[in-house]
Amino acid sequence: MIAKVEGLTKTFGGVRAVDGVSFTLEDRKIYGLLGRNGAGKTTLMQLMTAQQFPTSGTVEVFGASPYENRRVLRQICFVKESQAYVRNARIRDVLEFSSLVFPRWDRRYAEELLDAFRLPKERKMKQLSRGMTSAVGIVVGLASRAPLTIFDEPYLGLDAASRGLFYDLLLKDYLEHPRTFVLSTHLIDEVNRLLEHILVIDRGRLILDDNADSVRGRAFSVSGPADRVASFVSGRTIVRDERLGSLRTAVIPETPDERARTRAAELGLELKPVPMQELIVHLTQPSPAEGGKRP
Amino acid sequence: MNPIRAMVRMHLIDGKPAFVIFWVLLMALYVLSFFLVRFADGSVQFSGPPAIYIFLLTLSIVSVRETLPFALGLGQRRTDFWLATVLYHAGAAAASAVLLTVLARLEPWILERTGLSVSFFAWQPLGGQPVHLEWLFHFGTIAVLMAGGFFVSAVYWRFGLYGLIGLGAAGIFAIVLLRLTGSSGALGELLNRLGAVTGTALVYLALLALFSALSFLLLRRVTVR
Amino acid sequence: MNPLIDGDKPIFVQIAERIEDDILTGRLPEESQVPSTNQFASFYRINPATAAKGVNLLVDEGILYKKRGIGMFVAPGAREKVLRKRKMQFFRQYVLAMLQEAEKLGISEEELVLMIRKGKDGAEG
Repeated sequence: MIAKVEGLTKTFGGVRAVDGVSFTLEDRKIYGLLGRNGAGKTTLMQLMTAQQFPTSGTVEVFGASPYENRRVLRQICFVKESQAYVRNARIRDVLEFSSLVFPRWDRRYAEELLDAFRLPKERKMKQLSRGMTSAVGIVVGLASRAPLTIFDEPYLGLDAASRGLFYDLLLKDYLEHPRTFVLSTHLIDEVNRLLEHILVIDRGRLILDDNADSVRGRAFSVSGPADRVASFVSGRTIVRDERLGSLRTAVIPETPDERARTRAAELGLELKPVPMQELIVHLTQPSPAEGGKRP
Repeated sequence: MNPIRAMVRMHLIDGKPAFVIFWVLLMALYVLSFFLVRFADGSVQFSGPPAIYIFLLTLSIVSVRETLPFALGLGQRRTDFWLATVLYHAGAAAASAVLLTVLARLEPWILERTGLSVSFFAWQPLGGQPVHLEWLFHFGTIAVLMAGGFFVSAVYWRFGLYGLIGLGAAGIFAIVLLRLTGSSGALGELLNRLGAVTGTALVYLALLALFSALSFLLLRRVTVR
Repeated sequence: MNPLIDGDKPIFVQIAERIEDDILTGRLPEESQVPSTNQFASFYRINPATAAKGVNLLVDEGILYKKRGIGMFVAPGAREKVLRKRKMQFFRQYVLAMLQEAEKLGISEEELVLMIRKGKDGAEG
């Protein structure tokens, strides 16, 4: 266990940006910190890196509070979309700074990454486009080799190809030099397959903390002719129900077992898992009643 | 693996263009003043040092503006940032003081050659002082000003714009209070008793310590969005 | 490279099925070594833990086994196991569905058998 957060709360004015959050982070896992914009993800990460102070609750990273603790802080690299840079500094100055500040910094890897993202070393930070600035952040995060590396929506302004490049580079480095990554994003489907564990934040609260594969299997949809679907779903809980003409799709919040599969096949219905994005969106909707049938 | 060195470097990178522009301008003005004196037939007394003082004061207020969010954003300790900034300010003060002293020594030589009365860098009260004291005076003044600037900057980062307004109000209030109670007279007496050099040095040290300590304390609770 | 289809079956199941396919076609004979989870992860661009889950699925079913310190290998008798499994799936997925549809269209059992024969002979119905 490399991080432990307990009862963490942060209030701004009257608003609870982070509300009683508790979880742990293990070593060498890729975590997804998911949730809508404004759900409290960034604040949570700032609290974990001593960039914000908790209103109540505790944060422990690598065994101690990160506040003013160099031993802890130098093992964390937190890259965020709003990272400020000294405008007159050049890209190579930022890398030089990083090399002095992250004990495991890999110079050669950083150079390779600069090439991969086509970043000109001598360009000043103030002359960079938004996408290039994001790319610099990614280079810093990856080359830091920090045991806890956090990316907070690090791809603003990056086109789809560059984002894909980022995911590939991340996975590649994770396989060769495993460490803990936390990816915070609302682009769930893009990062979905990279994740081992999911944390979902909604309105400051942690509403899901589970292994990714378990979450992926947590609900299934059954579709086909409406009358057949009706007979399949009788007696079961449904969380979503859609009709199109004589076809109906119902979403059931369970893992489909052999019986369910056989029954579906007998009825000639199609059974599919529910994509992560949809699950999360459903979880973070303002819901009518809990787990009940939706009209 | 040296975060303080990394932050000092960033400060230098941040401040370099301003330094260069300022000194170029100042030197241009200096040269200009020779021509002015020539044609206007007057004399120039002591404009250099105050300009540098004000410049460095401004720099100290502004120098935290970009480096602080950058450093904190990349996980640096506030204590380390404070140290790096103090070192940066001290270095700027020392180097500027050297420049000022050297230029002040050069001036008489130039005056002899051109016969013009331009006293840009030399300052009467300092006139007869030995080199090291002249340097020390410049260094001390700049250091105190920069520490003050750092303090103002720290107030802004800790309390925002309202903090600055509050500080301004407190400052005005303090000055009014001093005037009313005639305490400023007491300061003059103290200086007289201790002697100009020792007195000034003590006052400077006290201010330095005060501003630095306050900056440190304020910085400890700073957060960056 | 065949991309894994999202939203169809769980990713780890798809990994398991790809391995099974290779066992069936003989690409992975018995006692041969299966690629490591890191290799799967890299190839399919997924988290290695997910790949491991797929592999473990097959280990639990006795289709693969682990040699300590070396890796995962195809178990003896794996091919038969996979065939059995796939036949079950075939039955569920195709046969039952076919019977459903046949009933809807009013096709009798005899007709069905004739159709199957025709299909095997390669003629069109």
